[in-house]
Amino acid sequence: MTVELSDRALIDRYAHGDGPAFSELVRRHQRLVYNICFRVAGPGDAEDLTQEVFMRLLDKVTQWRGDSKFTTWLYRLTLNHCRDALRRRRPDAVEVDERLIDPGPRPERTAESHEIADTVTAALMELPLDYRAVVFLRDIEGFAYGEIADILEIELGTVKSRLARARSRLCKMLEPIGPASHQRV
Amino acid sequence: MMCEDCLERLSTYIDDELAVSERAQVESHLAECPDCAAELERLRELTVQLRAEPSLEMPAAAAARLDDAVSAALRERQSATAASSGTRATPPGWKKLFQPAFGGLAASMAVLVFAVIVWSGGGVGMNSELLQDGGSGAEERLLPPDNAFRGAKTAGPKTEEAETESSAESKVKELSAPQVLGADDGDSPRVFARDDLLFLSMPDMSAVERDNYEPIEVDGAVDSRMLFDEAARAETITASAAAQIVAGEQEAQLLFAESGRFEDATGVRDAWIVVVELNGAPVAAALTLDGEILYRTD
Repeated sequence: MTVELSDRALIDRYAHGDGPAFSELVRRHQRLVYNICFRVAGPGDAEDLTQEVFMRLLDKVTQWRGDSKFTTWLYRLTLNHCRDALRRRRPDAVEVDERLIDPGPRPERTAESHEIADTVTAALMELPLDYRAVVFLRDIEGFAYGEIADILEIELGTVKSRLARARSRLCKMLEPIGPASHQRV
Repeated sequence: MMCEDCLERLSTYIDDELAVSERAQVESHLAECPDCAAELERLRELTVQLRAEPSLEMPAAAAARLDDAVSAALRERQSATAASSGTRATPPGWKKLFQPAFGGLAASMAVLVFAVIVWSGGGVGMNSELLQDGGSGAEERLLPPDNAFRGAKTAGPKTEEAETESSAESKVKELSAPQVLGADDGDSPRVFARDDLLFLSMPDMSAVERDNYEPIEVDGAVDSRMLFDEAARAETITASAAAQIVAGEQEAQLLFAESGRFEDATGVRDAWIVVVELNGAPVAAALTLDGEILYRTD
């Protein structure tokens, strides 16, 4: 009989010098981390960022205290890393001004988004990262509002407002393939 | 309700996260406003589209590169640790104030709590001959119960300890008699402070290899430049910051600090174990590496 060790047990083993325990942790969660990086930072950087996250985890993982699920903590760590990485490259692609109600005109497509075949992924990439993160967590990963607030360490009201604005922008961007366009045909 | 108010709430409405009263207002408006109803439909279409996005598998080549990179990093760390300590792998991210003096601690005995130097009931912790045992159940016996560190009453040294000291190794003999900081009821862990060192005695500690440390001088000065609230906010705190958190607004002297692992009913955590002198009395405490106090004796 094979017994799968819990994340806690693997981390404890690693903390006491058991390297393969960390490798097992990587194998177990690489899909999750890769998906976050792909959806939030973009397909072009997803592989590199996934590797960077796990390199960072080598030092950080023993700081997980167990007061939230390990995956919740890992979402937070990965999103923060994506945010830092993107901020270094394109500061304007990260921050959002919470005071802005009107999502504004439909933004011009970036060079990167032109290369992405998938329409939804391309539209997501045109959102600021803070908006993209809430859409990813809610609509793709299916987290509850409270969990999103916990992962992103923001207020519940901020989750609601960011999600509303992000969805509104996405609706505008995806309009040609949405129901509104069908009505016009 | 105006269209603008309705549109702001539609996103929350489709997630069923609106308060009952707001929900009723939105539904009432939607029944009368075809534009907002159309927007609701678009939002629903969007969420359906997003939920259909697949979970992505990492490309095999990238997964292989990741595996290689992790393995290389682990090997590098293992080599660096072996080169610096010669024996035991240092848990990542830990600051070491003590260096191993004797044999390594096997990974299977990964139950080291926060004891660093042990003054055992049967002998002096520095004497490896007194500490050989590999019995099972060590983990349970090592766990400090809820009353660990309880009571900070200072008491005199016990006769038994005085006898032990007479047969101890020369290095131990140089130290003065210990103060008992913790409760001494025979069942609880006991904490001893002596000179600049902390001694922790666990009941039945002989089940664990606990003699592989040799003390290094700890700088007694608390970094007064780091304010209490700054220390408490730091992601990973230093020993000085841990002492400052224990001291709060009071002036304090750091007598001892060691990183280790602290276990109680809620689980195992990396922790700083510090002893600070507050108002002339020693206070021992265990804190998480980001500054949460887990135990303190006062």
